[in-house]
Amino acid sequence: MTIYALSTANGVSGLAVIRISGHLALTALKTLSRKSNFQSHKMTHTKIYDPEDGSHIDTGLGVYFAKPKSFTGEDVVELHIHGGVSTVNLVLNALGKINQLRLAEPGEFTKRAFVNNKMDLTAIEAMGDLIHAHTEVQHKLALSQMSGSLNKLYLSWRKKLIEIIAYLEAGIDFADEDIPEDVLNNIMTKIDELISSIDLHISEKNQGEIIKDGFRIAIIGEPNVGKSSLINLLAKRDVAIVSEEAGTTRDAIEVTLNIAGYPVIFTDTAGIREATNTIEKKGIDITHEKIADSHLVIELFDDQSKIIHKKGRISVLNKIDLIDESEISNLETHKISIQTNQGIEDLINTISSHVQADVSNISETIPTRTRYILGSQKIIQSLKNSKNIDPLKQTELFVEELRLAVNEIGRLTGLVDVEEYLEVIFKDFCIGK
Amino acid sequence: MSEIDFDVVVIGGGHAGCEAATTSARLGAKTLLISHKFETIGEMSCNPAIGGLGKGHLVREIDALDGIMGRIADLSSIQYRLLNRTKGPAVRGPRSQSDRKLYKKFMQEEISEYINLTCLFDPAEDLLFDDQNNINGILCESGKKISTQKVVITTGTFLNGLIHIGEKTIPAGRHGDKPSIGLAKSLYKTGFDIGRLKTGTPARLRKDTIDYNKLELQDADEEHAYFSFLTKKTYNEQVPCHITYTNEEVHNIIENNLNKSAIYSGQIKSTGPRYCPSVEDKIVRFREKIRHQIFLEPEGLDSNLVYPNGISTSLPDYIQKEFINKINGLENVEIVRPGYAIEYDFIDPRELYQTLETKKIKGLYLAGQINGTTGYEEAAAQGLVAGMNAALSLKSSEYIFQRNNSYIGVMIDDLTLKGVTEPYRMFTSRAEYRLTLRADNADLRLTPIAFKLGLVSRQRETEFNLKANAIDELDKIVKNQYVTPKYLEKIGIKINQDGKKRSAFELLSYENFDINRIAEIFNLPQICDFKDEVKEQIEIESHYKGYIKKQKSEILSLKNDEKIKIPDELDYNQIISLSNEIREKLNKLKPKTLSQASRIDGITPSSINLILTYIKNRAKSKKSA
Repeated sequence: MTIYALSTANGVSGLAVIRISGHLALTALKTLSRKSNFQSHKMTHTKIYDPEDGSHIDTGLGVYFAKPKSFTGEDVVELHIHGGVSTVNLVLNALGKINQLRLAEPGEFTKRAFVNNKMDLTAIEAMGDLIHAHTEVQHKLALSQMSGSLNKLYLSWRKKLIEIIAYLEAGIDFADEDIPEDVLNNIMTKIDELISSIDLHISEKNQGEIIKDGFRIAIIGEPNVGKSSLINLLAKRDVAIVSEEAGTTRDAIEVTLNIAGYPVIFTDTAGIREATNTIEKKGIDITHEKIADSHLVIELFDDQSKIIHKKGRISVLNKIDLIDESEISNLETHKISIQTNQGIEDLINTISSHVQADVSNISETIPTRTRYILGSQKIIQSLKNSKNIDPLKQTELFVEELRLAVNEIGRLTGLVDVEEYLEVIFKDFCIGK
Repeated sequence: MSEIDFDVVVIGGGHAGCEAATTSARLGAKTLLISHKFETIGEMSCNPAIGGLGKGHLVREIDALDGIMGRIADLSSIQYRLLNRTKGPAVRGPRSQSDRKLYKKFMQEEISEYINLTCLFDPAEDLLFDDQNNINGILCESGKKISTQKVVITTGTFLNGLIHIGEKTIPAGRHGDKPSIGLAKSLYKTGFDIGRLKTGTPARLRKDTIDYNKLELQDADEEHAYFSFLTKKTYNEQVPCHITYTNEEVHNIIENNLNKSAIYSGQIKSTGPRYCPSVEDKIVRFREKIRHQIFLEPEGLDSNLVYPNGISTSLPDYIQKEFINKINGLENVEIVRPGYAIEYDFIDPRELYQTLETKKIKGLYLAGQINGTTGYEEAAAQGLVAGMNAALSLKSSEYIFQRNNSYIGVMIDDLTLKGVTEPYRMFTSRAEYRLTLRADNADLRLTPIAFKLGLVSRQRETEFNLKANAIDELDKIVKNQYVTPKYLEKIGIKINQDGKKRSAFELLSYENFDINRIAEIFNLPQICDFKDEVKEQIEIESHYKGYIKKQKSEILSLKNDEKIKIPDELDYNQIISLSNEIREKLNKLKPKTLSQASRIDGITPSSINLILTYIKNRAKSKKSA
C-alpha cells in the first residue's frame, strides 16, 4: 500500500507539504501533474489536477525521491502546495481517488523508515525529541542522536563484545585448533574497559535529565521574603499568588525559563516556618522534597542578620531598596530588589553559570531515555557477573553472560544476529582442521 | 503392493541416505534404498572421524532417536576423545576416529539386515510424475520403474560435480563415482534456486613411509565417551594420532605455485567453507602465521593409509608431493592419492519446508550435502529428519524439531530460513540454548519424543525408562534434603552463616561439592548406588541451574511466539507497512509461526510486530463477523 498525509501543521499557512510513500508514489505524482518526466531528487514546478474530473486544484512543486534514498526507504513524493485548508483537502481527496493509496496512520512514515533500516530505534526516539525540542541544547542533542551518535556508541560496545565472544567461542568450537594463548589475557582488560565506558554513559544521565527535563532550582526562604515575587519577576508574568499574608504559597509552583539554552525550572515553595495548620504543613513537606530534588537552591532573605551560607545554595538578600546602602555588609551575598529590579541581572548570570557548570562538555551520547539507562545497567550487571566466572573452565557460562549483554544492546537498538561471531572467528583465526 | 511398489524411496547410500532409509523403515514404511553399488554404502568420503563440537551433539541426538550413526561409529571407533573435557559439560563434544573399513562394514551389515528396508543397486535415472504433477515413481538406469509417492534424494555433490587437481578437471561426484546426470537434469528442470559451493580434501599418505619418531603424539582418552546411549564397551583397540606442522619452506613452495592452484588461478569461483580452508587459503589469508597444524589420522587399524587433516589442496599432484616432503616426519612419504577440490551445485535449502520436503514438488525430500551442508553428522541428521517426515506424511503427520529441543532443530531452522552462503557446519555457538542442549542429555531431551513418534526399539525404551526413573528418584532425594549453615560449620564446611537452610541440590552447585560428598554430608549412602550417568545428570543440572532457569524463561517466551501460527493463506501484501523487500521474502518463504518469521534474514523486530498486530486484528474481526 502507498500512503500519504499532510506533513505540515493543519490550518492556514503559506505553504503545505503532502508526503506520499510507497511503490505507487511516482504514479500518484504523474497522475496528479499529468507529467511523465520526473528526475529523482529534483523539484518540478507543476499544476495539480483532480484525477477524476480533471479540474485544476493548485499549482505548486513536486519532488520525487527514488528508493532507497528517501526518508522511508521507499519511493517518496512530496507535493509543496499552497497552505489553504480547502487546497490541502482537495489535494488529499485527489490522492484518495487513486487506487491503492490511503491516508497514513500516525507515525507510519517513521515506522516504514525503521522497517527499511533507514533509522534505528535510538534515531527514531531522537527524531521525536527533535520535533519537541524547545531549547537550543535540546535541539543540538536530538539532532546528533537522530544522526546516530547514540546508535554508534551502542554498536561500538556491541562490536567489542562480539569480538570477545568470538574469541571465546573459537576456543569452544575449535577445541583441537591452536588458538593463540594470549587471547584470554586481553579479554579481561577489554571487559574492564567496557564496564568503565558504560559506567560513564550511565553517569551522564544527570546531564540528560537537565537537558531534557530541565535544571531544577528551588527558591526557599521564610514567609514573605519575596519568593513568589522573584519567580513572577523572572517569568515576567503572574504565576504564583502573591500576597502580604504569610504562608499563601502552599503548593510548589513551577515556571520554566530558557537560560543559556537550557530549560531551567524555578520552583516556588511554601515558606519554611513553624506551620500552624495542616495544609501549610503539607506545603512545607513538599518544600523539603523539592529541595532534595533540585540541582540548585536559592535561599532568599530579607534580613541580612539571618543569612547563613549553606553548601549548594545561593543566598540572596532581597528588599535592599528598603535598607540604607551603608548598612549592607555581607559581600558574598547577592543583593537584589524585586521592587526596583536591582541586582536581578547579576543573579541570572550566576544561575546561568551554575547551569553551565553542571552540563559542561555535553556528550552527544547522553542517555536521554530511562530505557537506555536501565539497559546499560543490565549490560554492566552481565559483564560484572562474567568476571566472577573462570573463562577457561567455564567458558560457556562466561560467554552466556556476554551473550545476555549483547542481547540487551540489541534491545536498545533493535538488532540481533549470531552469524557475526562466526564472521569474527574466521577472520581472526586460521581454523582449518 | 507389487514387488516394485514402495512407500518411501531413498536415493543415495551415504550418511544421509542410510539414516533416511533406516528411519523411514523404523516407522514401519516399506522403504527402498537405491544406490550405484553396494560397495560404496557407508563410505566415509572425507576424513575418517565422527563427531566433534556440535557434530558430536548431533550424533548423540541421532542416537537418542534410535538412529544408526552413533552405534556404527562406536563399533568402528579406534580413538575416542571427548573434546573440551576440561570445560563445562554443555560444550563437551564426543569425537572418535573410525576405522574406515569397519565403519563401512558395519553400516552395510546394518542396512542389509534392517527390517522393512530393501536395497537396489541400479542408479536412479529420473523422477516420474502423474498427470497432476505429483511424484508417482522412479525410473532406474536399467529401465526398471519403481512406484512410490515419497522420494528422499541424498546424493551429495552429484549436481554438476567437478573435481580440480591443479589445472586438471574431472566431472565427478566422489572420487571414482560417476554423477547421475538424468536425475540432476530433472532437478534443474524444476526450477529450484541453485547455488555453487566448493570443498576440498587432502592427499592420502602411505603410513609405513611416515617417520613417526619425530612427531607429537595425541592419544585416545583413558575414559571413553561413547556416541550411543546403548554402547557399553569399547569394541576396538585404541590408536594414537600424530601432529606435525607446516613450515616456512612449505609456505614458500605453495606461495610460488599459487597460479597452479585451481582456487587461485580463477578456475574455481565458488565459495568454500571459512572454517576448513585449503592450505593455499591459510597461507594467503594468515601470512603472519609461521606454521599450521596437521593431524595425521590413521584410516584404520590395518590400513596403510593416513589422512593428513589440515592440508586440503587443489595444487597439481607434483607440487603436493614437493611441499608435503618438506614437512617434518613426511620427508620420504609416499602419496597414495593426491588431494583435490570439488565444486558442486546445491539446492537452496530455503526451497524446503522444515520437514525437508521441497516446496515445489510434493513428496520430494532432500537431505545432506545437496542442501548446502558439509559433514557426515549434519548429513545423517538431515537424513533422519527427511526419512522420518517422508514416512510420517503417509499418515498425514509430521514432526518438526525446534531450536530449543535439539541441535537438529537449530540446523533445520538455520537452513530453511537463512539459507547458506558457505557449506553449513554445526557449531555449538549456533545454539542459543546451548546450556540445555547438551550431548549428555540428548536422550532425556529426545527419546521421549521418539517414543511418541514410534521411532524407538524395545531395548532402548527399557533402558531409557530405567535411567529416567533413576534420575527422577535421585532428583527428589537431593531436593528434599536440607541442612542448616550451622550444621555445615560444625562438620567443618565454611559457609555464609545467614541462617538459611540449603538443599542438597543447592549445595551441589557450590564449588568443590560433588554428589559423593553430598552423600557423606547428608548421610545418604543410597546415593552412591545410583549409576554414574544418573549422578552426573543431577550434578550438571545443579551446576547450570541459574542459567537454565534464565534460558527456560526465554524458551517459554519463544514457545509463545512459536505458538502464534501464521495462517497459510496470509497475504503479506495486506500488511500495509511492510517494506516490499520484506514482503517478497515472506511471501516466498511462508514461515509457519511468528518465531520462524523473526529468524528470517533481514526481517526486523518491528516487522514482526506488524505481522503480530495484523494476525490479532484479523482474528478479532473474524470473531466479530
